[in-house]
Amino acid sequence: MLGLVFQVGADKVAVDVRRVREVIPRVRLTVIHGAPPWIAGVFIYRGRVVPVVDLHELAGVGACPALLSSRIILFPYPLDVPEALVGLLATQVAEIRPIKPGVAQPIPGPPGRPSLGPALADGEGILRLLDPDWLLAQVAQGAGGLIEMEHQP
Amino acid sequence: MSRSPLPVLTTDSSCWKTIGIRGDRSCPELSTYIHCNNCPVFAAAGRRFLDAPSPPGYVDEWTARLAIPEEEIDGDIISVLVFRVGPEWLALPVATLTEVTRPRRVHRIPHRGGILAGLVNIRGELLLCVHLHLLLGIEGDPHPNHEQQRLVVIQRDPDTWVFQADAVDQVHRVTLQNLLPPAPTLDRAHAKLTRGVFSDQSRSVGLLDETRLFPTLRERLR
Repeated sequence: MLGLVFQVGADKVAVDVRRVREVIPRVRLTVIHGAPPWIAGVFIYRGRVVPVVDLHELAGVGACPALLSSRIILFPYPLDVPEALVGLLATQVAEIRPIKPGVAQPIPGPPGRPSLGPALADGEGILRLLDPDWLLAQVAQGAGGLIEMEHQP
Repeated sequence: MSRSPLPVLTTDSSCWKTIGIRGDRSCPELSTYIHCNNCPVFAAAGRRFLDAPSPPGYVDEWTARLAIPEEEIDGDIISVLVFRVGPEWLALPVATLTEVTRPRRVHRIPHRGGILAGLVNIRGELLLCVHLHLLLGIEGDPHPNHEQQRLVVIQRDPDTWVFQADAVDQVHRVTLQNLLPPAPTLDRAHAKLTRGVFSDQSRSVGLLDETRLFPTLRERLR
């Protein structure tokens, strides 16, 4: 599997590139008052409003640093709504490489928050394998309708 | 992009400048990686470069740029070179185009006239030069501006032709669906060789049909 590798706090995280729509630079986000802290805000992407989730806040390691390498990864979500997108904000979004799937060790997230995914051995380090659909389904429940929920068949 | 240069993080271990490919090449890793570009130390340094804070204006510029909706373009787009022959603006797909060059002497061939202008030397190759205006039934330019004239070399296997244009504009992108049918008042030969008409600013440009133009030229010059 070809993975887009980025950093959330101290963790290296990978997502399947086939699920990524686009990686865009960090933009100025409009803060949503009253939204959970891990909702970084919304911005206008090609004429439509797209919510952005800050993965650093979600993982409980503070806000995402304002670096050049901090980028927004756009995922089509939910898949049954055409053109619907959700952005995930992370840092060091700068690498695409083949990921060897192996035996993954589940790792729980912070209390009440979803995990970044199970851990894989990746060379000498640990790589978290993020399933964006699972994560977004989890955060959509707490986003107060900001992220549309997937319709259950 | 931005007006101010990117802030560069200085690394104390810029080894590629001292022992690497831009230094004295004494690094033992060079026998493995051959060039610093392939070395993980260099790759890590490249990533550290992106750890710099965004330059001023960067975020705002991308916010504005990404907010613009994408233009939706339906249908096929082709690139065409627009040129003028006499009073008419015409176009040919760039796929048929070999060269646009300054006018040079055309050597007439004795006892041959009509649409054949003669032979012209293009990069050491003698090519047949034709009068496109005679083929299309357009009036020639009575007061040609020699500064604007160009020779256009077009090719579609196995034929190569040269014609003189009174002016050459630029390459335009045309949506095939937006082509209008040629005006019914056009000369018959001209209408037959025209694929359609598109408007560019205030002028209308006739897109020539290269699939008919080349066989017609061959037929007329046999």
